[in-house]
Amino acid sequence: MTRNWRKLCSLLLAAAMVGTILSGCGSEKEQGADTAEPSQTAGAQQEKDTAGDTGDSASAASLSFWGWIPYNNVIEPMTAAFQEENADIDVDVQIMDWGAYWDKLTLDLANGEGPDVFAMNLDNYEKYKDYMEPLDGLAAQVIGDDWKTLFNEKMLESTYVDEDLKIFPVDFGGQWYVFYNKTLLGELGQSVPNGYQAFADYAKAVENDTIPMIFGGKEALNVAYLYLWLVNNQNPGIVSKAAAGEASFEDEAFLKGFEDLQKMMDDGVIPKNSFGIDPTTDADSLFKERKSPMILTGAWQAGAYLAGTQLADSKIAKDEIGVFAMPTPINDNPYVVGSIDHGWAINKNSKNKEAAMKLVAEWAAGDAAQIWLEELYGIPCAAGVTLDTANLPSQEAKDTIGVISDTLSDQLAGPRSTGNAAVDNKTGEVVQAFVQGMMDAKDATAQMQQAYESSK
Amino acid sequence: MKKVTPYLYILPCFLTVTVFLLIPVLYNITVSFTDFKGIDLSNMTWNGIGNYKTLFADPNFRTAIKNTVIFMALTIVFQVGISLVMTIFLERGLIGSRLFEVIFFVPSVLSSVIIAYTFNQIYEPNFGFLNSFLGAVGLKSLQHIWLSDMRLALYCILAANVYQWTGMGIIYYRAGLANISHDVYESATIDGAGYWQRFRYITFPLLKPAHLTMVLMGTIGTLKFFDLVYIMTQGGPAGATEFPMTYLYKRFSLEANNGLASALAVVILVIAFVISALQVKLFNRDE
Repeated sequence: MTRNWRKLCSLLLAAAMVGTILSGCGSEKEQGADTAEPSQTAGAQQEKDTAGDTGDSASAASLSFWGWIPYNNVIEPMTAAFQEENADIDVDVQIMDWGAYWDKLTLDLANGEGPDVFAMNLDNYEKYKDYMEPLDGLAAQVIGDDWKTLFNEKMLESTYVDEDLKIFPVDFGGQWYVFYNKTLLGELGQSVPNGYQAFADYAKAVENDTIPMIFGGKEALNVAYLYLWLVNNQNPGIVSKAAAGEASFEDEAFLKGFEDLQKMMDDGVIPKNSFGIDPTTDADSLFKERKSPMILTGAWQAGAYLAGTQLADSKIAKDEIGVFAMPTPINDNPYVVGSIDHGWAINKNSKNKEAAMKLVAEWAAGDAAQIWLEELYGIPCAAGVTLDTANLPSQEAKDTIGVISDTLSDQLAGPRSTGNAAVDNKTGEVVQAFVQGMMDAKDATAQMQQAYESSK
Repeated sequence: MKKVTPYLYILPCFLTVTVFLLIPVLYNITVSFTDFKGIDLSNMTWNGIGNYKTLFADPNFRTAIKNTVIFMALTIVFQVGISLVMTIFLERGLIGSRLFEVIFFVPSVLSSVIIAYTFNQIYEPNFGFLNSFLGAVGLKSLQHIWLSDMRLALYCILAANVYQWTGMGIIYYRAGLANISHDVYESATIDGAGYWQRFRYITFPLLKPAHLTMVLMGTIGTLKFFDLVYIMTQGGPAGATEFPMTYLYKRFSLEANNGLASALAVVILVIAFVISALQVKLFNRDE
């Protein structure tokens, strides 16, 4: 009897283990349970299982949103702004870090699941385009035929890919801009350089006292973007043409881009130690620690540096920060590169597309967009959003912030990358080899062209 | 019932291994023969050994294999060497030896992310500890952009890896030493064997199981090496620190080239099997 009882217990335990393992294979929707990631809500309920619900009915819906941005302190007022007009729509928000976001989004979309609305940028558009709902028709249906008037026409146009609009754009980002610490420059006996030669003179003058300019050159992609910007200044738009097969990566502009890069290194404008600085972690820290009066980066840092949103408790919190567009060796009034920095997309498998469209419209072009962009100080794509620069902490910031929107409007040469991840990765590699003297420009451009050919 | 019962006991384990190991491996092998890109499974079409051809023709892949071989050899040499020497010293019961054991072991329980970020700061070219120290002692000519120098980056990462895992080697060797009877040493001493003779003819050979463990761990660890190198250099500069896993990550995550990434995973799996089998056979041959 005892032996049979032991056998029975063992069998029950084994069955319980099997059941536990198999239950872990279920999907989130089948389980209707909390997800693993922490959920940020603003007076919202948990996502409900919408099978059998009213579906596209806008009168009682529950939406889920995933993103790596905006930051948690902003998402709550944004959601509240949306729910003022749409009290019958609940929004469940999950903000994750960059890497986790893309991994989770990939897995869930591939399984036919995922959130109703998610954050997207053009760099990743190609990978996720088949899972994003085309927005033209849905916008006309939910917002009205004049929905396009909500946006800046040029910026909206640049969001179309192959005549499809799948992202409602929020802000337009660009490179390359120099954020400078005017206070620290003054302490070094320097003024803000005007033009490339003045910049080179400034670099020579301060090289023994400080880092002339911080540039995060350790990351291959960042180096690739810098190089492609130099190429675009040689021949505006050539990078996009080469990426579309209408030009070659071995054309003269690409070779001259390497000459410009070499000159910037020789002049000390891009110090050689830059290639050991990580753009994500080190560059920002070094600038905030007053290790250099200048940092070469993108317009997305306008909020952090000019509006001071990320400067509290840093050593430069009380310094005067300004910005100018980085000149090139051949162009004191340079072209900039940029594209839609991010926007909102609707999952093509969402059962609440109309409600989702209301959410993306509000977040892209309504009061919520104003809230978000005042945090980011990004360049808004919405026609009705203007940023109030009166609250910027320093006069230098107020005087110079306009250069970002002016250059992005009038001097835009194209996107910062080729749009082809394989070519971008190869470009980063060959540029890194070039700066170390391990490869010449001809070999480098040949490898870029080969990467393009292989990726077709 | 008696014949079935044993199978019922192993059923949960069998199911777990099948669902979470065998099926994914088989799926991976299948995908490696397709041109699957992106995340939409309906885009998958058969392309035979095309991915394998692309893989072996890619100079970055060949660099990754070369780096793996170099890194593997040096990791094993340094980890075995340093672990063994430290263990011998610690075994002598010197004052503070227990404390030193703990200190040496701590890195192996730390997250690789912490180790990587710490060494990033050490190697930082402007204000990092290494360049600052070299400048302070008058060796400014030896300052480098360590992790961005194509000739040095791999060895800089090696240093971080050896630092992280040497403590674990000390544990293995301590366990191995504990299994060697003191009678053997006494007999050798009586016969006139000196310290180095005892080490060479007794200690080192009898630590063979620990050597095998260290070599296997070093080999397999290098084949799946990712976290340290990705945080420190992302496989750069210019592919100088490319490893199979960083190569796979770039193809899969950044370029969405799942077919090629799967082909690489299959190749690494085969290499790992072959190397492990050879090593075990080699070590057991003498026995």
